Amino acid sequence: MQESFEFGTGNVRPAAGVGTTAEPAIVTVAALNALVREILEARVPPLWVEGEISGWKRYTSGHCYFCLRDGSAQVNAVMFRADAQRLPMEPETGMHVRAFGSVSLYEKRGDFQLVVRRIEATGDGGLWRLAFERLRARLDAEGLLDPARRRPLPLYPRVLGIVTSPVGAALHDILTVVSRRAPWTRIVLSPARVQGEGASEDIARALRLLVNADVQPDVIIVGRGGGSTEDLWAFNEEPVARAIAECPLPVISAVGHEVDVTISDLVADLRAPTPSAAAEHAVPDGTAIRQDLRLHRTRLGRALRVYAASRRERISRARERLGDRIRRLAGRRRDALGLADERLRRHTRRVVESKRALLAGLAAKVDALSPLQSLARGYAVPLAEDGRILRRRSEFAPGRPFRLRILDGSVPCRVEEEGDSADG
Amino acid sequence: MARKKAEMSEMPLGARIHRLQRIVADLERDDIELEEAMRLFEEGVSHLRAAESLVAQTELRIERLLEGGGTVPLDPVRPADSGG
Repeated sequence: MQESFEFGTGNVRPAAGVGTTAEPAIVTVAALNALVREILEARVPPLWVEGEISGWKRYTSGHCYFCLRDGSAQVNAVMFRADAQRLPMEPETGMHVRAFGSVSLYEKRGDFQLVVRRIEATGDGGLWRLAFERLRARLDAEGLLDPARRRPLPLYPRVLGIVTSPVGAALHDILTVVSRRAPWTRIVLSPARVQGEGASEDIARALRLLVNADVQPDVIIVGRGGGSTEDLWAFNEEPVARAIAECPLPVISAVGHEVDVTISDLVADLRAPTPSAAAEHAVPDGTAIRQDLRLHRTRLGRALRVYAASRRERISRARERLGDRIRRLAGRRRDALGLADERLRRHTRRVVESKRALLAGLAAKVDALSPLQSLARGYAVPLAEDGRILRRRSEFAPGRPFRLRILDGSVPCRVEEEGDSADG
Repeated sequence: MARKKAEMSEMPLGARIHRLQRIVADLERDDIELEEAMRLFEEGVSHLRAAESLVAQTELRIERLLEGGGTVPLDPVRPADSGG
């Protein structure tokens, strides 16, 4: 392959159609390097290069320099900060990797180099897997992955905390589920960047902020929607893992879709396969609660009615027993009274009889003293109108009426005139 | 902070439901005094009403947490909004 070039004032442009007979040009070093760089970048498309890492070094600028080599050759490589910050871990010397990038020339030094955009470990499931396993092993050694550390979630959270992107699908999914199931739940969103440089630190910061918020959540969902391994990587990093492990409130981890298990899933109190599933776990089902409350309303009313009925029955039983007792008591008293009455009656009868006998005796005696005998013999007794016996002359005033008691009755009489002298 | 205090004094739904379950169980046991039964019934009704009015809410209340620990309200989400 042969080509000729036309040189300008430092600018290099391929000059098509120039013949091979032209004189060799004299160029500056800078122009040469610029030329070679342009050729390399134009002619070699981005590609995957397999090899072994050697001399990996990250500078304070964030750019990383290393060598990629195999048994027979090596090439200098650079990974600029924007790409290098997405790496799950620093590749180590001897690590077999696949690097994706394009070739270029560092003009200042004339170094041919590979500008790497991505690196994947070829052995043991890749760099991500390796980084994942290393952090997992470290956390496990500290006991942070112990299932016994997992706390139960509250059944009826009053406040649900969410750590996620304010513009992501995860937030929308969670809100949809909560508003369907338990719309009375108060939601506090602690926004975080969930991917890109510093995402892990930002998620950790947002979680801590939520723990110290004025309104303390009863449960927290930390997560994001699905994405590539790199997109989800913040949830596999130590800052997030530590923040979740230290969180005094129960945390549900919800990262991506079903298959992606992250470190945050392992440290959290519950791993949900999706943000929607996390919301389902976080809040109770309002339909079931409303049904439960209706049941309790019925039971409460019935319990009181049953209670009242049983009390009424108890009272009526008590009243019955009391009535029985009073009747029995009264019966006993009445019997006693009857007995007394009978005794009294008998006694009275006896008294009356004896009085009557006494009276009879007296009557006989009175009879014996009766003046009737004298009357029969012709005596008469003058009686005043009031029944008093008139005995003396002075009692017979002229014109005074009196009666004369004789044997078979009495005769009305009147004193005629003043009589003569008294007897004797 | 008066607002926070007022919210703290409010009994959470879970506690109300738990208490309600206890009250119903106690009332059904039938070995309590009449005054206690009346008191339990009234307490039960008040929990029931509070819980029912709480779960009857339809509008989701969302707040965004600020650096200082306070919150600002975001647009409420109604069930109708959550379709798309």
